[in-house]
Amino acid sequence: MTKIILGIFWLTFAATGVAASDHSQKMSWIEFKNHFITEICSSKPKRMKAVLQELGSFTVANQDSKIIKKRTQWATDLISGIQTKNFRCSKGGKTYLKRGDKFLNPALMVEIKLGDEKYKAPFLHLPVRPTLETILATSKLINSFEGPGSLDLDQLALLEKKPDFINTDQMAYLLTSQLSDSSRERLVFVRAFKMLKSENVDEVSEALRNLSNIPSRKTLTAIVKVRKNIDPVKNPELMKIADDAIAEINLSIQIGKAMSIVYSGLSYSSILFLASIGLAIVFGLMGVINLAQGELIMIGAYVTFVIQECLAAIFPSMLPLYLLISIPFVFLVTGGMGALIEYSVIRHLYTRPLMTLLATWGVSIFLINMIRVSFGTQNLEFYVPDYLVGGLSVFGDFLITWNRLATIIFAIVILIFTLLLVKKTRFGMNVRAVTENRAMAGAIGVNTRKVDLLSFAVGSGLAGLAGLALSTIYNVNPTMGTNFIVDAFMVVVLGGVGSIWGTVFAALLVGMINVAVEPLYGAVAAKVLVMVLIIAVIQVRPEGIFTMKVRK
Amino acid sequence: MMNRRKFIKVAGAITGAAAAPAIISSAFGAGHSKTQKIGCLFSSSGAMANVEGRLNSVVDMAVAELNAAGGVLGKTIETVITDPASDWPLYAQNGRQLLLQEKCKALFGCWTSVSRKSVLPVVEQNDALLYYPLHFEGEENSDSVVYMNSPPASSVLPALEYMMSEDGGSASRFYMVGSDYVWPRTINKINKGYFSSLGISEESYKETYVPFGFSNFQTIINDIRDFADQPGGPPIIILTVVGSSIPAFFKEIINQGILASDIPILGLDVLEADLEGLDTTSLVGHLNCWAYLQNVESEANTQIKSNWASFVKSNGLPYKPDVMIDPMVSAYDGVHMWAKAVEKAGTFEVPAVKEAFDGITFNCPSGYEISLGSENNYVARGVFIGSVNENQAFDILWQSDDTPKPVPFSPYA
Amino acid sequence: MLRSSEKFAVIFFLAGSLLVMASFMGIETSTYLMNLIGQIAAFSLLALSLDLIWGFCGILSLGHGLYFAIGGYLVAMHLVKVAFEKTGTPPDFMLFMGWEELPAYYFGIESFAYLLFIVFVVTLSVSLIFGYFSFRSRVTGVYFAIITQALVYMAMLFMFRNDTGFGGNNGMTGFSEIFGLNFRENKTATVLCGISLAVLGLSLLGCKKLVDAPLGRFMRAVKEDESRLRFLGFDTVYVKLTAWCISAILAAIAGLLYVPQVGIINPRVLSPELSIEIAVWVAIGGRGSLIGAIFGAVVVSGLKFILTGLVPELWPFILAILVVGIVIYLPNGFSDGVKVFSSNARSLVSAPHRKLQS
Repeated sequence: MTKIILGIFWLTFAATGVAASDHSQKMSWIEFKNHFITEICSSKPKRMKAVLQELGSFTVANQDSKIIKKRTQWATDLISGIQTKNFRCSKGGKTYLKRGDKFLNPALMVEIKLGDEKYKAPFLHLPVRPTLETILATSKLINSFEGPGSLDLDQLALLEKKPDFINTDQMAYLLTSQLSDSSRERLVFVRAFKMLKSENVDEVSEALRNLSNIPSRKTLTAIVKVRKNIDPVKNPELMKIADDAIAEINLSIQIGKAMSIVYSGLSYSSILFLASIGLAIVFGLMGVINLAQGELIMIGAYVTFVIQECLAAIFPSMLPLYLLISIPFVFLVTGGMGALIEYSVIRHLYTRPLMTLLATWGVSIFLINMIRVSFGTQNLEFYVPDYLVGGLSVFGDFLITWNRLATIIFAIVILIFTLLLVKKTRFGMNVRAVTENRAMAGAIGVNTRKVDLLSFAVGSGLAGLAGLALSTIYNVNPTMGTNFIVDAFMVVVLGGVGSIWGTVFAALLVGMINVAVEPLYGAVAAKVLVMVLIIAVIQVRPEGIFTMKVRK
Repeated sequence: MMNRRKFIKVAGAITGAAAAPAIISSAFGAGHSKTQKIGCLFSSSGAMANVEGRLNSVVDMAVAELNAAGGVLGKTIETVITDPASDWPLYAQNGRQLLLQEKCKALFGCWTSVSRKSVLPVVEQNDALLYYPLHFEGEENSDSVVYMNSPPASSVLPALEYMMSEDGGSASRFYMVGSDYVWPRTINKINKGYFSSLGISEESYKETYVPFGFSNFQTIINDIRDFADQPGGPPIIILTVVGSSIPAFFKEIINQGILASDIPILGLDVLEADLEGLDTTSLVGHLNCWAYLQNVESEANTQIKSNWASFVKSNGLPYKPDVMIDPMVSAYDGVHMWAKAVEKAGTFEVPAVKEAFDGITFNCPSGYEISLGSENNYVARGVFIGSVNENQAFDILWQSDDTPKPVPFSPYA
Repeated sequence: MLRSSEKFAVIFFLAGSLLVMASFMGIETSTYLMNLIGQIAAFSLLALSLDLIWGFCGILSLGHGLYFAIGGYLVAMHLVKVAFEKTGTPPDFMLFMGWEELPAYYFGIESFAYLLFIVFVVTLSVSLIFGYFSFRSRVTGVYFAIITQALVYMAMLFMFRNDTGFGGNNGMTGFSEIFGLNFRENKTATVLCGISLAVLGLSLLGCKKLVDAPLGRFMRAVKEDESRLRFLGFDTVYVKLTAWCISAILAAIAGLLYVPQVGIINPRVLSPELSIEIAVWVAIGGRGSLIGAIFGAVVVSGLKFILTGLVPELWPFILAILVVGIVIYLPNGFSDGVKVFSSNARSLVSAPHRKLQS
């Protein structure tokens, strides 16, 4: 009796087991599509993950390339719909996929009329997302592949990040296609993660070799894990391959780490440079401390925002270029504002440089509150153009992020612009003359008032450009400027008054120290160390590292 | 150019004119008997203004609702708004002014723990009440403060529990990043206590602190990627940075291309308002936990959202009319719960109002009936876990069955 | 103008003493008013300390908050320890750091005499070391202003840390009593206010004596033309150093008086903004006039107390316009304005000359 009951139990269990794993073989495509939709609507992470993998296998189950194209198209449409919440289910089991303003039956892709039911997007719990993203990526790759050539790099990069979730059948199918060498190499690399888990010694050693080609911490972790399971007596060769791979990857990771520190340092240094170059000119020329410099940076960012909004309203197609378009506007507006500050406030205070500190502090409070009243205190939303998002994985785990690279390049351009302006133009010559000897320059006919006004305007314009460059990296709100002002001063004082190269050097020094110390002892320690350094340097060289010989 | 003498005269006149109303109002203010004042202590300038400033208007709106319904005990309620300018001692100073000078009977205010701590002695010395709308580190129970939001034991731990469950992605390694002050430190201390009670080894978590207002997260996020690539199971980030560091952190996360499917973030202080300036399509799936989320479906919620939108429009306030965040709702609840306690007590006198606290309930926009008990001054509220969506808001991922009893002192701390 | 300093000093001192006496005779006063006056008195002392060094010696410090904080933090340590011993509830930072007892450097701080001693020692050593090295390397003017700001900023970042035992960002609060007087009592506010006023009076008198003494003349000489003084064979380093240390100690005393009255201290007192604000008080009141500095502190902080409550939206604009206007049109602050009012012909004639001083 008990045996029979057990037997029935066993049978039902086995039957459900088989049914679950063999859906793809037994069902027709249309049956599967309906099954897929029901499973997704369940919102249960486990069921969603399983059915997504089944979908992956199903898309390539038939060898006919037309059918494959049709199925991957459906998969792409539906998964995108799930991600964007355009796919929704009702409690009663009805579903729709919204495309434009039309509602489609998701299985048949024909237009339907909706009833009164309440539709809800199936909830994507965290564990479902990686599977969803990889199946979408592979389906897109297969769908868009038009014969011999390369694969879409974005999708490949996505696969590289999540090799564990890739559908094996889709992967195998992709590798049978005629691919360019670089695409094939990357796919083989992605596949190697799965092959590491294989029982076959040859496959594992091949995977090891493939993995060590593209070194990263992730591959290292995977290899170290495999190495633990290798029996050194049985497979001495495999052991050696693993050890070699680990050593090679370790080295690459260290190099990548060093490069990434240098890169972070460079990017932080360029930000510091941008924030302080305007200050350096003004300070060097007039001995004027402009505590409102941070607010000019802030206003630069706000002008950028206004330009962005105008473009979005008038020429939406130009929007991706708003950062470039803003450059002249920002420079003019903040420069004009600087000229206004110079004319109304600073002009009265040239003989009392310490008082400019207080006056410009007052100006900075005024500007902050003016912006606060007119724009509100919330962070502004900046459109980040595609070319500034993401980055390029270069070596080891070293990632060159586009926006930081843009900042570095922008800083270099500003540096060249400033150098040309100061060294090659008549205005620059006047500026240098006034800096070195104000009275004498005046005596030989330089209009020192005009020089003062113009250089203050240029200094302010440069601050505004810094705001433009920072708008896509930092938060833009009325108080953003105060974060920069202390750092900018430290850079200027450390570098030495009026020396452009001094400012460059000091920005690099401060930036590098910050980035090098931060991971070890924390951000606070890094800042404190920079302060200590500055105080110490001032003791030895009271007027900064690079001091210009100035007649007083 | 104005000559000096003239300037001084003008300046003097302006200062005099500015100061006059203060003198007049303090001389005559006390005589009014048809109104009762309550005070607001939220900064509308300085570092906290970004999120904190709007709470002044929320209190105003709630008071307008009370007055429209006939006031409290027959008196019209009047809000006195001050600006402590994100300057902590100024909170104490303004608080003192509100209580002693303006004779306010209750204060609604403070965002950071520091500001609360600085007002606390003032409120206690003067037998007044402070309604505090933020979630915080707990470990405090003053009978002069009504804590409108949940202590960590009843909000953070359920969220962690979810993330460690199979549905939440079986998180088993934790990178904790916080601003260096008491709230993140206490939260992380509680987390660590919780981890060790579950037998999670010390190698599986790491904590880092950044200074206030820190925004250069490049290196830290590099370190997080490093941590995530190590073996030992799925990692998550427990984010306790505050204020302007939150959007800065997310910006860098987007920039380095980290998605919720790579390393999910549980942002404990992340609000709808923090997402305002961000393109959230790459942040979809990251989590937060609060006692209220904007997308809650309840009648009270629809009501408060439309009231707020029209309040913002009719008063020309510089806030987004469609953003409603937990502390706003908590401040709103606070005003109504105060009014209920006053009506129950039958007087505005603080000791009697305190006596009346036990059993006060309010139909909160979060859809729960929130209440005050006899054990402590914490309001019992429901808990939500939210998941960032494309529209700079949060979808509700999980919510508690009822309002868990608040536990101010965590067993893990 | 200068003669009136002594008059004011006596008035402050007498008013302060009267208040203390009144409170012990059991006369009730407005806690709010007492507290306000007491705090403004502490700020005035702080302004006085900066005026001594800036107005008379020509050295602008944008980091005087540091010394204010030294006094403030030490008295907070005293109050915290007293509260801990009396009530048994440990301060918050011990709770969240998981400490069982106060760190070793709290030893003995519960004694008020020791507190005064340690405030003196710490302030003197910090100001002496920093001042000696800076003055010896002839760091002056704007550079000096910037490194003092760097120092105070650094101290702020340091105090933000929670593992220092000073309460981190939250700082220290929860004081229960000071020399046996409970903070809940009305009397305490009056006594503290009285003491602050009296100390302000004494300090004002002391500063007046100091600036009239030979050292004071040296200080002014340093301000007018330091290099000439050096060429004449005087060692200006020690003149500046003495003035600097006295100024630092006065600032520390101001902190000592301030913290018990507000009931909290945290790293915000170390923020560069506060230190700039001190300079604003002095500039508005009038550099080089002792009573002017006090006047500046009273006007600005008084306005701030009133206007942040009254017109919070407009307060920043009023402050900004006030600062810019006074700096431009009244080079020596209100004390200049008073002279303009009294239409003293000589001071108007000498005004352009004064403009040349930095």
